[in-house]
Amino acid sequence: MVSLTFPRRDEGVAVLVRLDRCIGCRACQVACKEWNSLEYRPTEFSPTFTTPQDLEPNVWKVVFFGEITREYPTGFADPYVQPIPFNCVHCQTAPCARACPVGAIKVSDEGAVVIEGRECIGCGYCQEACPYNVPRQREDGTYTKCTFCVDRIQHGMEPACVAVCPTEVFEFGPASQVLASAEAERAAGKEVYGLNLDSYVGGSIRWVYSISKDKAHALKIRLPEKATVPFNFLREVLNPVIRYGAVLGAALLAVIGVIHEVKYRKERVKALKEATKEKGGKE
Amino acid sequence: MASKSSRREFLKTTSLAALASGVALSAPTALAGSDSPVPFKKWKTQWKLGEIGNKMDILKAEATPAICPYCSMGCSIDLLTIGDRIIHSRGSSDSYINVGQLCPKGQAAFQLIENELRVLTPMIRTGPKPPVDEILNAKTWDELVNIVKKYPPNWRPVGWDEAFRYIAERLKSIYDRHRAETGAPRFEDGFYYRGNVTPLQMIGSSVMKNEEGYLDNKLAVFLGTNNFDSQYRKCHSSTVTALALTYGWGAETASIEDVALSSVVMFFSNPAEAHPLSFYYFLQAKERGATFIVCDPRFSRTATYADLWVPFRSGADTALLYYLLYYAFFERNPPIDQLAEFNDLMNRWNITREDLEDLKTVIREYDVNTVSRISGVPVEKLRKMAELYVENSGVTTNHRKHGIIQWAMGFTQHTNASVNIIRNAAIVQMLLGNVGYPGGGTHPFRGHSNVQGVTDVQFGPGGLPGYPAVPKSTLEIRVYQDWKLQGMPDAWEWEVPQWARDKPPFNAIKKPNKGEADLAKALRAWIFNGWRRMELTWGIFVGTDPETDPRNGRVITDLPIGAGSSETVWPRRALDGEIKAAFILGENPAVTNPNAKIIWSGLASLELLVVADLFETETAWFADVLLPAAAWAEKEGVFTDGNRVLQWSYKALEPKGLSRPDYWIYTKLFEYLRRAGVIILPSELAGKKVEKVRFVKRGKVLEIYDRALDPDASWNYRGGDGAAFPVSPVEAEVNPRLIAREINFAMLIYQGLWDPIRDEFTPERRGVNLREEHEIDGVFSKEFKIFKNWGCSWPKNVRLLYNLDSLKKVLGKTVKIVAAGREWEVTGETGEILDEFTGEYRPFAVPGHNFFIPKIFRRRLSGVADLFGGVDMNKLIKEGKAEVIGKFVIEEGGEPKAVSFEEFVAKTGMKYLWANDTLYIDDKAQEIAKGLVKRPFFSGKSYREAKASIDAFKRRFREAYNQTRDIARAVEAVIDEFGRWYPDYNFQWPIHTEPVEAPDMELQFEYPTIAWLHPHNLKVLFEQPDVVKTMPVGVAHDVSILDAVEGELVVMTSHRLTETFHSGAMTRNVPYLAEMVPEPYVQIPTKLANKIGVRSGDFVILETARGSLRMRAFVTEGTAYLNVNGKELPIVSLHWSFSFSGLVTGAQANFLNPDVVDVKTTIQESKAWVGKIRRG
Ligand code: SF4
Ligand code: SF4
Ligand code: SF4
Repeated sequence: MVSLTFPRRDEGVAVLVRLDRCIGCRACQVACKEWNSLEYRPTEFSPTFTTPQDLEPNVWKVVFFGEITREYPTGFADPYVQPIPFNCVHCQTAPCARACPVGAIKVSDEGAVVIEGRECIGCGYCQEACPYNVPRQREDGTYTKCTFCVDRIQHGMEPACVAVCPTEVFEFGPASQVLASAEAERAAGKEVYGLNLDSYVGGSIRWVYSISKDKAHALKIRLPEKATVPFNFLREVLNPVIRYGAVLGAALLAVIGVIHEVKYRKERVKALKEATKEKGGKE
Repeated sequence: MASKSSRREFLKTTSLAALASGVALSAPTALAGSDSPVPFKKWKTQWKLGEIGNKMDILKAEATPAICPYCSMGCSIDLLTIGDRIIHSRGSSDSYINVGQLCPKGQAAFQLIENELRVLTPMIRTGPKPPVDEILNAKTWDELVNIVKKYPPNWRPVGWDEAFRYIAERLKSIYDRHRAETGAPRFEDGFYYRGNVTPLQMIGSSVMKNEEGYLDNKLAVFLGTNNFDSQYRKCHSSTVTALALTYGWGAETASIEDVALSSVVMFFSNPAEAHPLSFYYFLQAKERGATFIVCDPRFSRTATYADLWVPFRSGADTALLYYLLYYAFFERNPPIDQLAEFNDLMNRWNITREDLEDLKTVIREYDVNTVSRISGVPVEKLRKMAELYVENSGVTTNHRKHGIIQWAMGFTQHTNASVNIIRNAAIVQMLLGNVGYPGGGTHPFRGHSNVQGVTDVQFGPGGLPGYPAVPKSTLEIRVYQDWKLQGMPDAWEWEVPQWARDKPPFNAIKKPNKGEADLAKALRAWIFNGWRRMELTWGIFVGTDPETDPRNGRVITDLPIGAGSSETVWPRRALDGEIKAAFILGENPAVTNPNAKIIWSGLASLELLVVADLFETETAWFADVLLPAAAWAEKEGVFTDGNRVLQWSYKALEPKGLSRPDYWIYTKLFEYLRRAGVIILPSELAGKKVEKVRFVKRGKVLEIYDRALDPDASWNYRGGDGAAFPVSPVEAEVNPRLIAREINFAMLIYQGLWDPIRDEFTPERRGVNLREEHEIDGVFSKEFKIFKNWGCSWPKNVRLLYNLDSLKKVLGKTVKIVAAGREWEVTGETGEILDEFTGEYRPFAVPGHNFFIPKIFRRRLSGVADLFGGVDMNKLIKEGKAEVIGKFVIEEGGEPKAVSFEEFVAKTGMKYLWANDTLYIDDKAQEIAKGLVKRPFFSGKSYREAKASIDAFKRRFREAYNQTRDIARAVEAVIDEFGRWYPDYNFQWPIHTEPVEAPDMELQFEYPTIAWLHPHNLKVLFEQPDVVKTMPVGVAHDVSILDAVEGELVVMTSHRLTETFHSGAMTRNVPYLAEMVPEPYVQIPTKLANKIGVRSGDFVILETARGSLRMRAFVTEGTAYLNVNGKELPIVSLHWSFSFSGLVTGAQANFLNPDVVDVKTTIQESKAWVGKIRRG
């Protein structure tokens, strides 16, 4: 295995995304683009309102809109739309970083998982390794994604999306403190996502979500219950081989890649369909 | 005195300090990067600030706070610039409003400045304009766009000088003809313009700075036209009128931070999308346990916080509100009028048992079943709604809890908005004890960043800066001259002359004698006070010649006479040839006006259209001249946010290309139009160069002073010193700081924005501390967490309107403070004003302030001196020096006598009288300044007295329709027979009336639309002017007209989104926003979608009496599918901020709706109309 060291889950920083506060304004989506100088690209109308419909190389954060029916506090069962701001969740032991054959994905002391564009060779392993389908390929072939605003947090500032949010959805801070807040939310009867996940991501992620129970079924619009990519463990085993330049390893990896790719794509399409079915009137 | 550099320095340091105010991180312990996991490769562990997005020189940048140009929250945005390059923008962390945060529009606002699509040079049209009849005749949106696209403007870029000369020349020819035809401004009884007849329409936007909107109004007056208006007409004019007539002021009654204290909020609007930052405060209310009721046919992002979502039929708002009262008076036990607190409230707003009984007769008609039938809301939901709201209100909780009614366009854009809907909201809040207390209030959220400010400085066709009405007749001018001779008294010191008492409007004054006053008299004195302010600050004349003979002298007035045309009614006047030219700065009526073909053909029919904007908007497509405007942070000035807080917006960078601020454009326009002889004032023509200011005391004429008229000097805004030092060369030419000083004296409500004693602009204050207990309003500020040291607010820095006794009622105490050397006892928020004796601040209204204050005030200098003592106003404004040239009348040995300022001060000590005009509030003023629940809108009788007539009228209407099968002829028959629509009824109390386009004729006959009370609507009904006859631009006043149209019948309404703004010119051209909302769409309920066979994203066709358009459908359960009057009725909501020009484009929703208007304010009915929908 690669000798990647990750800060412990209670070290570095983390974010608690308190979905009950979110008004879906998408300021976070814009602030991310502004700080990172991501260019504009024309989009199309989205039947789910989520625009663009998922992450893009020039859109590192997207607010998803999940339509559900729920029981309101006043007792009426009515339609409801839950906004879910989403970006790379910065896995505890980032599978993408583990998958990168050339070590282009750095993990900072704060726990930020950052793809260094200049080092990226465009192999796409990170994308396939990612259980959240986050990394995106730019036109020049390199991969890119949310950096946790590493160039802000290392200078005493909050991530751009955190700072801009009008309803302070994001609680950003030392991981230990954020974990405590998440536990407090759970104790208060809320659903918390991101602390009891598969070992594949290290058991937890650094962008943790909380939401009240009556709306929790909206989470699956973008957050999978199982944070894992089954075929990837094989690659993990073989990765060191390519790191040290073995040709055979590369060939093997390619085969696994193809098998995995097919299954992975299928799953993605299925997941997407399910997500859109939540919207009324589809199919 | 702050010079430019020291002010900048200060801002810079505060912002840089704020840059690193993030979370203090614990030192990282895991040194993951110390050993590189990849051999022979440097392992990166540190990133430079701004490295990812290439913003590394950010620390060299200068930060300037400017106020966000979009909504009215008043968020501060720091622009970090190096030279003219924007490095970064972010919310200003010192602002109490947005505490470093922004919504997506605010965050993307920098792209309005750095934008490839901007117009950067003046341009003159060379191409022909689209022909009027072709436009009017278009049946579909696509057809219409193809027609206008055939006639592109073919711009010729020119310099400013050429553009101005061209405008002056063209306007001169229009004016010359007009003067020759009408003789204006020379009439038999004097010299004046008939402001409604002058063929020029002026329109100023609501994102202008105050200094700009103010010049728009000033220029209109100088051009002799009262045909001027601004965007507010189409957003909240109905709010302003309904609230002003009920409470005294047409503004949001409380400040934004106050919503955090509410216990229940009823949203008839969508602030999460339209005013996202307000949710910073709504969230606090929520966390305190407040209940949120969201009434909206469409599940909006506001509903993400809802405890109860109430989808209802657009246009049924009055009925919904009435059910709250029905519950309170007839279902709850005990009824609220049996509660002790209710008596106090009755006393506070002058309501008698008699009035209450009359009102209750109306309320009784809105029981739960009736309201359910009208609105489509199920009975159980209505019950829950009423119970939640009423039981959390002031009257039922002894002011432990208060409720808020929050609204925006959903309320305002109806033919009955002012008289029924908003008036009802105002009444509900009064009766439930929710207005004038912390956490309560009526909260209309204003749309544009400065719509409150521009409304204040440019009230529209019937008003002058600061709200005094325009003169309506020469009689008013004569009485005004008489008032001047009496020494410009307050209402109690004023004797209405005998010769005017029996004539309108003076016959409304029931206490005309000196020593007494009623509301009508006090309001008239306030209007006169306003005119005097215009005269003094603009160097013009309004009165008679000779001054001492008001009754028979020649009338000479530079203020034009007669209310002109508004934003919504002028296009049909243009089609009729009455309006021939228009100046439209910063607004895009081609998209925002209703009934697109009417406004487009109106624009196309003009002889001269001048547009100034950032982009080539849809309106610009029809222009003869397009001027490049500077963007929001390329200029400076004051913004008044939605809750009346005035903030200074700083200039961050120089205008791009040749673009210029609107204050510069207006001033230059004045200069060119003046030189060309377009601007000729009546006083000049009459040869009046000096006003002889005289007072008459006991038959003796006393010389006060001679005031030289110098209108041109008032337009000279060059230079400036002290706090008014110009910030850059453009401002040295036309300095908004000098204009701001002028506003301080021209408008009573804004008096206080400049402190002339300390030379301080109070909107520049950025204090984030709450006040200390011993300070003015200290207890109020501390207890209710109100930031009174940030900027200032009108009136007199009062943040919560009508806050007479909240200290007493909520905290159970009164407060004593010492200010200006005296002790004051206050019961509520009092506000502050400069003291004429000490020059220090003193409380303004003591105790707190009641309704209508301070339109109603006392004046120590009544009968003693001119306003501000007769100071040389131009000198005070331009140089900051107070030089009093007027004399003061005192009594000596029983004889009146005029003495100098120095003598007067020696006798009285009023050294600073020129700073505040010695205004104050006393018990007499408090007494008549009470709120008025009783408020007739038309002549006629109370409800019970008129009931028989109303019923007869309704019967006749139905009968006439049955005979003719034609609504127009039925309306005609009714008006013929009864002399008026809704005969005998004075609309003292609101009633539910249907929209012009009702979805159900049964409801239309039961609750006939009120619309036909307004002449403009009759023009629409009878297809006037003639050019529109038989064209598809009318109304489906009879829903069966649509029987022949294929598809499902729906009620149509419209909405916009967080990411879009108004016409879309400011969002569709902003890449980051366009990316999120690339296309318009119509939101439709799933059940309807299934019926017509469409899925989300498919196209549908929407068709109305105006034509059809094609749009994508957004299908969701979150749209109302109702049962109204026993029938299934879907509501569809169109996203309206789109049209054909810009980075992203799409079909324009306002193509589909009719241009019928509110009967009092002429706001368009664009929230409820009918049509058919089918698969496209
Ligand atoms: S900025 Fe905040 S409220 Fe807006 S979408 Fe993002 S998380 Fe939600
Ligand atoms: S979410 Fe995906 S991209 Fe982000 S850290 Fe985890 S594996 Fe990597
Ligand atoms: S649009 Fe309104 S809420 Fe958004 S940043 Fe601007 S002022 Fe604030």
